Amino acid sequence: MSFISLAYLVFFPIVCVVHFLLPAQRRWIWLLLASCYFYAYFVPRYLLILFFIIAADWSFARWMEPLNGRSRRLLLYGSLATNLGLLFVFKYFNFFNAESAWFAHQLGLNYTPPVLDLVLPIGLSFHTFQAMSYTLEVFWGRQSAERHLGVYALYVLFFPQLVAGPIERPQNLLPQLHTMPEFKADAAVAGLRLILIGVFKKVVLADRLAVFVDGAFNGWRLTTGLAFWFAAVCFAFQIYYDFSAYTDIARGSAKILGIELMKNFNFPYFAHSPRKFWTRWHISLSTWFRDYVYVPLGGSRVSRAVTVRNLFVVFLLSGLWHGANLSFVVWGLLNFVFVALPLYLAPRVGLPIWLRTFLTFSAITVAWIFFRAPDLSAAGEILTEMILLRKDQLFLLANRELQIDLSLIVAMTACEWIWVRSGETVFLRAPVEFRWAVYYLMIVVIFACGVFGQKQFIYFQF
Amino acid sequence: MATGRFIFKLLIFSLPLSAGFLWLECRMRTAPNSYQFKQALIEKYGAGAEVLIFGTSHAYYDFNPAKFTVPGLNLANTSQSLVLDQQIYTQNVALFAKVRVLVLNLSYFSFEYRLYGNSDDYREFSYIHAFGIEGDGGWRSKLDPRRFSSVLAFGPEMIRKILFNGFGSGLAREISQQGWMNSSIGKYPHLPVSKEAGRDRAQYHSATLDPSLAESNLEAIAKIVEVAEANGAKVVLSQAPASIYYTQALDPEAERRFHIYIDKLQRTLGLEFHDYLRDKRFAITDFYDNDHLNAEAAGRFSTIFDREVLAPILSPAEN
Repeated sequence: MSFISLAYLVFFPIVCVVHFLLPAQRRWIWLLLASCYFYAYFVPRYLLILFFIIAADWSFARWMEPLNGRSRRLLLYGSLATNLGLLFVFKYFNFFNAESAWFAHQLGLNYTPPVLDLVLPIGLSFHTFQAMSYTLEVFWGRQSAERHLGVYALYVLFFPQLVAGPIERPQNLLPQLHTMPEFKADAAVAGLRLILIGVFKKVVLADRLAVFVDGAFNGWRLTTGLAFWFAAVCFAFQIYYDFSAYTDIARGSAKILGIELMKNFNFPYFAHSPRKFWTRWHISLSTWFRDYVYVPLGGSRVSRAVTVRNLFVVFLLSGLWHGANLSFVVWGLLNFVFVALPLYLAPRVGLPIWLRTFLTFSAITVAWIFFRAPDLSAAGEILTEMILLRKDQLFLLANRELQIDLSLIVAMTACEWIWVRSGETVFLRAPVEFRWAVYYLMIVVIFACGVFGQKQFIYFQF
Repeated sequence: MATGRFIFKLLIFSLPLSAGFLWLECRMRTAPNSYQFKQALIEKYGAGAEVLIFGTSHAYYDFNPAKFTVPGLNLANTSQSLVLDQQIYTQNVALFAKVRVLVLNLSYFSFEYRLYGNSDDYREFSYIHAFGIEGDGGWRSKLDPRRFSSVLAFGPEMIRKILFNGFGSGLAREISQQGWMNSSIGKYPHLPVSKEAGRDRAQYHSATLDPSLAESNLEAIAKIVEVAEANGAKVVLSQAPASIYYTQALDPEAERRFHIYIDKLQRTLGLEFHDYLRDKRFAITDFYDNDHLNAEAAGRFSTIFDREVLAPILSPAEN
């Protein structure tokens, strides 16, 4: 079920009302049923995969907890192999096969790989990573194994974050699912506000930008020079608004139910270095890689060369996490270069913050081209076009809809800037009339300018 | 904040929004649309009609009953499934006292299609509201909130268009008094007739195919035949012309199944089938878009249909 749908508009209030009418110790059952229904709304049979992951990881963690040494490690490997195996079959099998075939062909060998005709279950990368985070925490002794299978199932299936995160940690989510807090009006207000902001970002900003971005990138052979620069900038904002909108609605929905999910975005485009950007963008995934890959490899408390190797591994995996496609790998490696380069080439002269922010945004935007382009060769040709700076399609910018989009980006960025400078409280301290006027204005703009097609959230594909 | 105060504030906040919603709901319910228009036509002219046309937009655009030698009514509409045809007909059969021929124009996808669940299924609720019928979505449609609200059924983008149009409508100009869609005076621009657009259109229609729906659609036809025969009318099947760009992009396997269904209907119900899909008398320039004739060609096709199909049934002695 998509957050931006009539189905969710009916589903969520029913879930909330029944949730708070039930005694706290029975709420997990209701939320679990609701979460199954939410997921089954996409493709019901893929629920079986989730049930399998849940049963496997719950069992591995229970068996692992009292053991030490080799047996404990073997059980961890069993859990990781289960999760990564599923991910590999559904997401990477065809990719690696195709690449192997290409490699074999280069060596003069005749290798025709079998192709698995499988559709990637929505959000598989998200819930397998969340499940792995649980078994890793249990393995390291930082989290006790969950005794209650139902509550553990809810940890993996909890509907607001099931499909596109945030990728939660057991220490944050499991205790909340056990206590099931009572209804708190202030939390509900904050949750509704987050949902409104999320819907606004999705239908007014992201999906409107998608019209121009899709036109430019899907018809990339017909797009030229400067038009691509605008398309790339628009995509940078589109993906931010799209993904952060999902997170806002997820966090808002959970907040109303009394559950606090982690923050996933912290105004990433105001970062003044690529490294800072990655502490503000998709925080739940960045910290996952930090905690479970980067730090175990030695992190930055090792020689510079090893730190660079660790960063390389993290960004390579991050690229692969996003998709079984060479463009995602290149996207990850490009970000690795942006993050690692300052370790060797730290500027001797301090650049003004605005310039560093601008350069960071530009670098990230160029990397996004690999993320959005249909394939690697298309990305290469798009970059060539961008370097050529041809102006013959500047007439596209005379489009009134695009001008509205750009104005909305400027307005939203200004709001975020005020938010960053003064904190959220500046808005919350404002008179209630002003706040309500802003809410009504947002609702009117959503109705008047929103795009309500069937466009899914971009991160659903992962 | 206490829960009671929260609920009170939420209600106050929702008041203007609810008022706006109710106002829109009232306006949308009364805003003219082609479904209400057709129901009004049934009530006004149904009693005098001798020929009825049912089907999807292909029938809606291509059959101009004004060109028939007897009074006729075109009750087809965009995306109208066979189940909806059957419901509209049986619901209003008492009003069709003089009907002698009922033409069921079949589109390539008709047998394996239903409106509910497709991208334009908001129309389903217009059928339900305007004709007072069940719809073709079964229990899912019955539980769908859109069934109870025109605002929810149309959705924000459609409402925006209608709102900015002042809830007005050019229906009186676009739809003739016989229910035919006159594409020459429509508010929509002429759509491209090209290989790419024809392929896209055929693929769009192929994507709606669901073989599991064939049984219910064949049952709907059987029901129409049963009711029509009981009321002295003959049912005829047809397929209207489409451009070569559209027909060459149709899925051959789906077309093969289409003809199996036709054979079955001919065998079991003894129905005539008149296939004009690839009729050479219609060239590329005769099309409004890839699968609908333009107004002039529709007139020509209707005359041909009247001469070749209707006349032998209505006046067998003269033929």
